[in-house]
Amino acid sequence: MIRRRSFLTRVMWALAVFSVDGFRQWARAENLRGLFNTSPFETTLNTLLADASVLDTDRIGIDMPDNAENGAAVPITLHTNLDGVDTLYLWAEKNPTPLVAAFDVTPDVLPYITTRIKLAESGRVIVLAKQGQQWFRQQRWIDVMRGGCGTG
Amino acid sequence: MSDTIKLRSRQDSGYTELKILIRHPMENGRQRDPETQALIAAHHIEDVTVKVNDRVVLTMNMAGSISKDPFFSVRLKTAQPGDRIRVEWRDNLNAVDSAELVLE
Repeated sequence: MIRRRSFLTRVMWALAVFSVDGFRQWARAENLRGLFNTSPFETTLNTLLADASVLDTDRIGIDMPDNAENGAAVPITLHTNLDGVDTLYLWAEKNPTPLVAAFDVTPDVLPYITTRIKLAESGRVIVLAKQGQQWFRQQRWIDVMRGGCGTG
Repeated sequence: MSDTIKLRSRQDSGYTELKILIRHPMENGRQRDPETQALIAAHHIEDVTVKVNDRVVLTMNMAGSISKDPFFSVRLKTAQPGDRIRVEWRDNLNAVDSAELVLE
């Protein structure tokens, strides 16, 4: 009898933990869906930041070429030595969808991520790091010879 | 979809580098078919999740601005030999795939 009860308790706990996690993931996905849209860069940025202020910092690095022949696949590495970063947001200001990616990091990974992105035209690439309630920014210009986002 | 993910890991000092290559068109909905000139519908991954022993350590959210056949290289800080790494993706049409790797 006791054993059965402790088993049931464990199942209930597992369900509770799962649904909290599940809800959090769902809420995060819904929130982001609103940001990965085709509004202009400044509009989407304001939606994300609300009224928060942003500090420019050299503690975020953006490694990428100064110019890209082909905007369809531009290698980029973003990294930071800021502690306790929750999310790194990667933006391309001239892209039809300016928010390129949002990396939700945990203490189990280094905030050091390499990928390949599309760039529509020459412009700024911006990385925003969210650390608790604080925001940090780094940006770099890149010249793009041939756009990689299609013409619509 | 299946067999769309290739995983490679390499132990470095202080971290494990995990390379992820995914086969996916990553259509952003703005490309035109070269023959018919019709717009190709958006079809892109929305999230890639990296788990270590079933615990989420990294979620990468994206849309059509990540290049076709997405590539990611990430650094796992706390993973140890014997740990099971799992990578999952889901796209805007709710297709999914996953792959696993045990660290050596």
